Amino acid sequence: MNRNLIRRADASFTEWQRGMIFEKKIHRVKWEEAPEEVRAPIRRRQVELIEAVTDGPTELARYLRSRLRLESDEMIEAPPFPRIELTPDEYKDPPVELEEELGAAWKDILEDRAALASSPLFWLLCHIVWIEDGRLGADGLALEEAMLSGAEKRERRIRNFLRRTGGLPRVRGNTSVFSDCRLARAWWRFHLADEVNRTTEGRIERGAAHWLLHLHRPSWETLVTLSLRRVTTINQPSARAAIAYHLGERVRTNGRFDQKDVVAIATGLARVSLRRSLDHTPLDELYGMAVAG
Amino acid sequence: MTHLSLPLLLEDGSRLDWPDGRYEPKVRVALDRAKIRHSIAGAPSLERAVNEGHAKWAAEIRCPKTLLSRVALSAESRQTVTWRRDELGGVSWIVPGLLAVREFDLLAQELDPFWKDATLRVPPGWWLARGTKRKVNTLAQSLLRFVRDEKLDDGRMHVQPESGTGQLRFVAHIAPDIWLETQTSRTLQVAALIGACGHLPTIFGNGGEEEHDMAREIRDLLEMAKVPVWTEEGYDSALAATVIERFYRTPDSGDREG
Repeated sequence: MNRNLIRRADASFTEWQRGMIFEKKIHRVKWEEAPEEVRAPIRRRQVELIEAVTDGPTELARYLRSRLRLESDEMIEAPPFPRIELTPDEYKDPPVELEEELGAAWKDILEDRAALASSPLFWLLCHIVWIEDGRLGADGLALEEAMLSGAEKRERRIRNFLRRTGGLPRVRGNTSVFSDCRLARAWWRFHLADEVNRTTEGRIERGAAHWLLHLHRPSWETLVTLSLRRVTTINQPSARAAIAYHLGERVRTNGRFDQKDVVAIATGLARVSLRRSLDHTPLDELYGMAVAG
Repeated sequence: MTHLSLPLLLEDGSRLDWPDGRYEPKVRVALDRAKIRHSIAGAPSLERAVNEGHAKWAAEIRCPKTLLSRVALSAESRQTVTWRRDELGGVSWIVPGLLAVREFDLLAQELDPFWKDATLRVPPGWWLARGTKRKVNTLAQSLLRFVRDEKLDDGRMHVQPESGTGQLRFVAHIAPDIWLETQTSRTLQVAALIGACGHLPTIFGNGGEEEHDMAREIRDLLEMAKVPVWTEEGYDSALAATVIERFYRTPDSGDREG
């Protein structure tokens, strides 16, 4: 059911996102220099979306359904929402406790379905369900604060919406769903922390691993970017366990860590992976090698 | 003695640790599985390591988009690795190899003189041989093969079923003047797919599709998209092909500005 709908809505999703933003690299001029026939349709579509948001949940859900060309009775099986409603601040940057709560509630549906959980369209479809249920804001004011806020310019507000509701892959690449869509990010942090816990046979608790992944936002983005683009061997579960272990050590000794630590550990593990399968190297040895490289 | 480096036999021959050694994995990748036939020659120690259970054949599956990387092991040289479609999204890879699973000693006599007199203790988890990475194909890639055809006039394409493979597969013959573009032009690729889909009613007009995974996969896709399949009235090869691989209005953008 989910897969069918996602496959069918994919073209509409891509076309809708493409039409919503002004991309300097495609139009080859700044917004101010673009001819009116380019700017007018983008402006009109942006205004339509902002109006749909401010009109409240019913109108926003209707708007999104129409852009994805969904029938009124068509929808995916979205992960159940454990809260009656999120505040805009909780939505924009869920605290670790809320991420734990969401992850635990979504585990049955999303565990072992990585392709789904890494799809921006899947998260947008989930948003439609949650918006219709009033979980992300009871009125237009709350939705506006949750999904558009943080920028003055219309273009930026639209990009905020697209990023937060699933991700903006055409601008931010595959990283977007893991870091820009905060609810998707919550799932992935929970899921990876759970994996660290299982890989280490409970020696690193899920809550502790999750806390580390949540602690420093730029480090999470660095970890995701490295995993997606540069050192993909760190996607072996043992590698993630070694990363969690070392980040924990940094906090224990220095009280903190940053992106440089993540890069150092990940590249150390990548060097090791040229010689060894990380998942078949005893964890204690791997901990030592992650730093030595 | 533990080494920072140990001999490694590479499929592309770019390391010279084993002067006579060759690692030649044959990999056939389908939608949800890869069949790998590992073979090593000229490196008796490695063959012995497998026979004595010190090493196993390995296949690493990588899908960066879903943050997946896992290594499957096999004691048999014919290895089948499967994955769930829910595990992979986007470009994925298979990397074959040979992995030490227990500590053992490697004999330096078979190796390049650089290793002379060394006692090489191999710890578990070390790569002993590694192949080059293979891409996991999409349905369209599994279905089609492109060949340059000198006999075709400029700008022409001819698609026909590939015989003798026992698989549902098509060959798209491409005129020399547009040959290079087949690698980059999605329009040409989808055009070939339309040609392939045009053959489906003839091939499966009298049944037999249940014997072909690929045919079942295509039927599922068309049914999901509520598009007529080849046994139904109104079947349209262009529509079917663009359900499998749709046209884009502009080239895929990839990663762009932040």
